[in-house]
Amino acid sequence: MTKEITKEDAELMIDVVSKIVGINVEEHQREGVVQNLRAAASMAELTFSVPLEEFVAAPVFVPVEPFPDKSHPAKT
Amino acid sequence: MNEHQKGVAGIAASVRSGDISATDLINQCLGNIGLKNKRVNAFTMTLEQRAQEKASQVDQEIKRGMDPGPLAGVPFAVKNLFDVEGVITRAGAKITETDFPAGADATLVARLESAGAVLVGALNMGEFAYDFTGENIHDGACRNPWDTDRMAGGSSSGSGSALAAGLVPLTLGTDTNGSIRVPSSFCGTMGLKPTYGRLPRTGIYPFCDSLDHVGPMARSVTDLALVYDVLQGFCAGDHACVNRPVQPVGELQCDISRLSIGMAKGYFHVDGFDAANRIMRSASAALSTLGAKVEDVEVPLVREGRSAAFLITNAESSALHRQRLLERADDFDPDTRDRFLAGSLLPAGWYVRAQALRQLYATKVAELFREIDVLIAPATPCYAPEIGSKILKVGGEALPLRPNLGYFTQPFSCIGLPVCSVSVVDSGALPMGIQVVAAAWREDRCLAVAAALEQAGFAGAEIAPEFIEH
Repeated sequence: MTKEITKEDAELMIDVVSKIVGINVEEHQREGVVQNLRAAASMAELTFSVPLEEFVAAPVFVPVEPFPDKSHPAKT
Repeated sequence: MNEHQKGVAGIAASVRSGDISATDLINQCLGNIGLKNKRVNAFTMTLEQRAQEKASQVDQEIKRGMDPGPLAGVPFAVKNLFDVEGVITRAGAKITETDFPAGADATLVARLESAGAVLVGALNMGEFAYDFTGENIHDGACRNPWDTDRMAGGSSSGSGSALAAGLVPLTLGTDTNGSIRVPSSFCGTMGLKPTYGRLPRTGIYPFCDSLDHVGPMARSVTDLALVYDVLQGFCAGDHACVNRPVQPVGELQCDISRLSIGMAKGYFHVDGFDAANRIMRSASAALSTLGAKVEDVEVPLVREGRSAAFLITNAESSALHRQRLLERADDFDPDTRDRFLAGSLLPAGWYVRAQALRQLYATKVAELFREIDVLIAPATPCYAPEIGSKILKVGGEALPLRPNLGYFTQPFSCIGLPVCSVSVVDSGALPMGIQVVAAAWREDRCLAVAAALEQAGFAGAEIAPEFIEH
């Protein structure tokens, strides 16, 4: 589970991670980036609130067809 | 109403029968765009010469007794992220203005023209498609024809606005989190976001690869279905396009009396979203009248699914634009730039978690579709807000407007389900839409229910009165 990210946490994240990933966040960009990071963190918190089994597949998405459904019952 | 303001099927019938030449029709259409576009700012470019040449070709084919195709002479326009041969693909950005022109048309543009349709121009959009408002600081805000002080919705803003202003009867848009459905709702048009992987994105400027969809927008469900059948087909140029047999919807089956329809509740019923709640009640009553079995349903994991869509969008799109962020960060719209910059800093674990949750969410919703045929949800929380608005008022609470315009749409594109955005005939002065959602690959069901609602008079898309030509 993640925890709420404060403004100070987001500032720290910018200072540290921007160096690691090689992205320069200028002074006039910081306020907007902080807001967006905090919004993303609250979204991440929700995704971690659901128990998940191990996820070993590459993150590639495949639409899921409902089967069986009313038109295509499973063979018994 | 002038000929060029008819719908897709009506125009094709007139051109095919010789009631009007494609050339005359396209000239009428271009003239109307020249006169009216400045009021809505839907077009960023028109393609007079190309359109006139194509129209002439259609006329020649008819003269020789050849079949010009089911969309003969139908003018259409595309969001300016579709490749058009010889034209720079803008994607709503300033940064792209110095790119090389596209070497070929996007696959869907080529398919429409092969069916006889005539491309007349490119349309305004939110920068790099990261937008629900239709505001663009480089090209100016795209305006809503129903009230030009209001937003057209985004990011396929021009695609919705051009239809509602009667400038063209057909547009193409893209939808990653709601970018066809939000402008369809605000502008009062019909839009189809097919299943993820159904229509090829070849020749389209990407936004978020694992969520990007393409689809048509029009002023009737019949037109949507006609165009959707032309657009279908595998294309190896898009790695996400699934090689399935084409499943034409053809003549829509509008008897929905055997269908089970779920009305989305819980997450989709927010106190304070009064207009959305009202049209959901009306939709429920209309569907019951049409004989469908209607029941309230909860969509499992929907809130978490929307969160996953948010993170995936932010992470993937930021990765796409990394080089532009490094070299020309201040040439972005500041709002878009700050979202991309933040997305560049997200922990990988958040992204992977979001993808994992998305798969679980897709499985849970597929289970729901074992019990129901179609799900109905509101498309937007409110009518089109005034241009420049930053806050969405819900009861006594003020929420940030931009991200919340996609509150109802993000959960379905997240798991690639087909959705038809249907404009509801309501007592309000402004349009608003509902989403008709089906299981993966069941676009036929979305369109059938949408058509039934349209035939019954519950749904309909019209040209805004001030833009009708007599």
